[in-house]
Amino acid sequence: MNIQSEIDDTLRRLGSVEPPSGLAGRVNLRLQNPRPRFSFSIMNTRTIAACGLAASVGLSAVALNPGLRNMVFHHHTSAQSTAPANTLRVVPPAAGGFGTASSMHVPAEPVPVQPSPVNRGRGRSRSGRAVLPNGSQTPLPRGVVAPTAPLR
Amino acid sequence: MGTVEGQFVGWLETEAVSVPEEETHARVTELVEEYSSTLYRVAYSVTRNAADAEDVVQETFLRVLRHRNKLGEVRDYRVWLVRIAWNLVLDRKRRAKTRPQVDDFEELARVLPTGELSAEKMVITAQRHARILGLIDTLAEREREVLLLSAVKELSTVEIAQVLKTTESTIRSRLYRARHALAAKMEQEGILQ
Repeated sequence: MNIQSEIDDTLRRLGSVEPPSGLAGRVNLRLQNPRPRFSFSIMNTRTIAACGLAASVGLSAVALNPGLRNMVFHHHTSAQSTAPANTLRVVPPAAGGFGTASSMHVPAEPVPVQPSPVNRGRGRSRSGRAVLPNGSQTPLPRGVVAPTAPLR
Repeated sequence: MGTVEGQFVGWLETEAVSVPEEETHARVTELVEEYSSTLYRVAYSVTRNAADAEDVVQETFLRVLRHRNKLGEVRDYRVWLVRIAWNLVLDRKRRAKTRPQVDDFEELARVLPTGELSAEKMVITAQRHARILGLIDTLAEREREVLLLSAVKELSTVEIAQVLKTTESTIRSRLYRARHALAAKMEQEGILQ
């Protein structure tokens, strides 16, 4: 067998393939019940774009317009702050003010100014330790201190 | 190469012919009965896979059904349908280009008619055919397309020219070059030695 006849034989066999039985019936069945296909058509694209544009315009209007914003947030906060029945309620202080200022206690009379503490050190020793003046409290001895009088 | 949707342009008469819906469905059913085997062979010449070829046939007729309002304007149903199927199968092959080529010799031995050969000879013949088909796939696109369409027994050179939107002489020229190139590749590969 030469090359040309081999080519002919291959092409002839390729072009003589018999389809599986019942092909036409299956095709007709498929045509009667075509599966729905998701089609991303230009119409769908336009619809989606229009909806997105409308949503963004609406959100921008709410964010920028104070009236609309107050309406939305007022409604939101009132819905959140509605206290349920039969729950403990914290009574705010009677004094006026906001936040931390409302809980501040204001005395009726002026408060005397306390003298600021004075540094009672009198310099330093040669070793660098602080030296207390005479008459001041002596430091407590180290270790266990034995009582001077019998305990009752 | 035009798109599949483009196949509905160019094969229509200049004046639209309105066809009733029932008649249209009946005509589509007749087309399925008459041309599904031809379309299967056209698709199989490219896919070499029975399931894929059947899918292409079904998709072809779904396209026809989608454009059934233009059915009455078609001049040559065979060429029109082959053209749709051909473009569908080329699209499918282009999408599956990364998929490795299937060299299922047993499948080829089962599908390709081999006459009264013994089982061993059938497998050897199928292997040889598979190698030749693999060489056809390495040909230039235009030559490969003409060679594969010429394999479909129902299609004449004139019809192949109409499917590929070219002249008959061009088809003959491409066919000659394709066979010449394929023979050279076969000699190079030593297929018949």
